[in-house]
Amino acid sequence: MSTCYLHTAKTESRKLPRLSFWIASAVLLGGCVPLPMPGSIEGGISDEAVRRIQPGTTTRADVLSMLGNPAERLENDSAFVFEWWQSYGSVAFVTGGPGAAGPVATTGQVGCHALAIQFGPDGVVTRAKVIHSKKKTSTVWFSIDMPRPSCTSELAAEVKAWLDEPPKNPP
Amino acid sequence: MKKVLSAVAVLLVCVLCACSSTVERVSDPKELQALGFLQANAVSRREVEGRLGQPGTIYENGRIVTYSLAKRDDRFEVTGSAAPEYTLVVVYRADDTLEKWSLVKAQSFK
Repeated sequence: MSTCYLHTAKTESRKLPRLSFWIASAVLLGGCVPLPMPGSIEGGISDEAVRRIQPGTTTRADVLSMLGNPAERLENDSAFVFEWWQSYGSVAFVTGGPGAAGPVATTGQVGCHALAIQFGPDGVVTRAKVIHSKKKTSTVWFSIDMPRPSCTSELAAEVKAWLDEPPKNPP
Repeated sequence: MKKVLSAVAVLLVCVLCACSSTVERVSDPKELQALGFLQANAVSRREVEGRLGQPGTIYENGRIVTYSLAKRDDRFEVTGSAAPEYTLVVVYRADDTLEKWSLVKAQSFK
């Protein structure tokens, strides 16, 4: 197993043209062993928990008792947003030189999810929805941990759009 | 041999790190035993705050409060962590007695 040369790996992929990035990656990772990594999920909310949230009956106290503190609270707690992220599997490239071994890079697909819950003035759930972001390919250097994606951009916009929708059956 | 051991070590780390965490309401009586003083209809807000201090988060003008907890040697400690190991959710009645509570095991992130 050959030792990987790491001194140029700090170059940020965003600053490189796409072709250069892949050539640099090939050079860097050429002597490394690829290890498939299973997918993982952090802070996930189960389908069963989502099913338990019933509009018209589930209260704010019920939601908090089930899920704990939300990531976002809207004005007057009129809505909560819970977020979690998921890795859909990745490949870690590791090197194993004499007396040393370590990860060079990990690349894979990650995505964010949000559970948005809206409450009426009486604190009872009026509607709830799980919203998924698009999967994105992500690479992190010198680590086998996938980077935590930021869920504050596209997903937040989708959640906001859903929360801003007028109710389908206004009272 | 050293190379093989190194590769095995890296592989093990990879597999062990690929774990999952989901938000779960704790239902194991053994785990909940440490919070046994939280008796619905029998404990007041003052007593709860005497044991746990001021809550970390407040909802509905204080009717619902939460505490961030961490487990240390089978005991729960209140922490100021924004991403706690456990969240204790306490719901009070209008007369400030404990209505219900739950312990949620979770790892939140931002």
